[in-house]
Amino acid sequence: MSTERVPSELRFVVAVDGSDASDRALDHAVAMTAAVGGTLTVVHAVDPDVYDTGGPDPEGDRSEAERRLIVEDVEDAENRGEEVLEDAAERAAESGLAVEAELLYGNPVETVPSFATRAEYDGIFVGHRGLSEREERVLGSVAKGLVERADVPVTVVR
Amino acid sequence: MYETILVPTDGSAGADAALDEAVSLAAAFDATVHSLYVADTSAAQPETGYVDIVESFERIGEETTAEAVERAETDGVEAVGAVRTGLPHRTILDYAEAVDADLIVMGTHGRTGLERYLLGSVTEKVVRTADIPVLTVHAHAEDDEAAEEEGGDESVGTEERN
Repeated sequence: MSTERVPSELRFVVAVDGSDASDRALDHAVAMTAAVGGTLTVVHAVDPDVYDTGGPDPEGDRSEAERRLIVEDVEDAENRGEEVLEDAAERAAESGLAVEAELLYGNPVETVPSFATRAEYDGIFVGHRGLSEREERVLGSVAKGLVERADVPVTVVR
Repeated sequence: MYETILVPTDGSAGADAALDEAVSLAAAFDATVHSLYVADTSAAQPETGYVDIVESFERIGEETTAEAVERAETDGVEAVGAVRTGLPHRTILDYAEAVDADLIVMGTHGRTGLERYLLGSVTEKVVRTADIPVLTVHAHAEDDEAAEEEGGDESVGTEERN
């Protein structure tokens, strides 16, 4: 799976979602990658589960309608994910760094760490919105989830 | 990139892994490492001999940070040891501000099973509230086993920790 590489070249992943916190994490990851002469991959996770709930119940054949809605939403999410990745790649390019981009599928808290481990990355960068303890308990935090699950070092950027 | 790297320590395997990471970063960027031990005053109640407990924490802190400084200097990295008294996460953030740290490196309780998914509460609070980037490092499972069982139940061969 992983090809031969120079052992001294550091390879990083940054998880992006288009938010301001994600932009700051990206900028930090770009600076770090440039400073060590490494390579950077931007990733965005499309999470179909997220689109399983919410919205009014459709009329008529409910299961059929829901299935259709979910499929459409996943496509929307894919398109949005591609845009998020493109924007991130452009932002990195403005700082003079060419990055790779990878669209992942699933809950980012699970897919980002497993992607990083599988492809033998040296570290993950992720933004943090700065939630209160209470907000974080209710909403959860991708940053916290990554810190808990990743085998590789995770840098959380505010 | 980084000039001042803060590594809080509690003497655990997670903290050791964090120190290793901090030292290699500091070596790459010619940065200074600060090893901070916080004598947790919340663990000492007045009726249980507050002064004695805080003093013994401080002694442990002096030893732990001295070892960390030695470890960093072995790799040619400038290092400072510090012991402070207070609530751990607050004291860590105050210290980071005081020395103008640009990165905090912390270990997570990366043991086996369920605990693998539980952050240390201090690390969790620092990640949530720090204004500067926080780099978290999992202790490797074998390090934790070795730390817990003094040698571990299965040899991992040439695993060296200085």
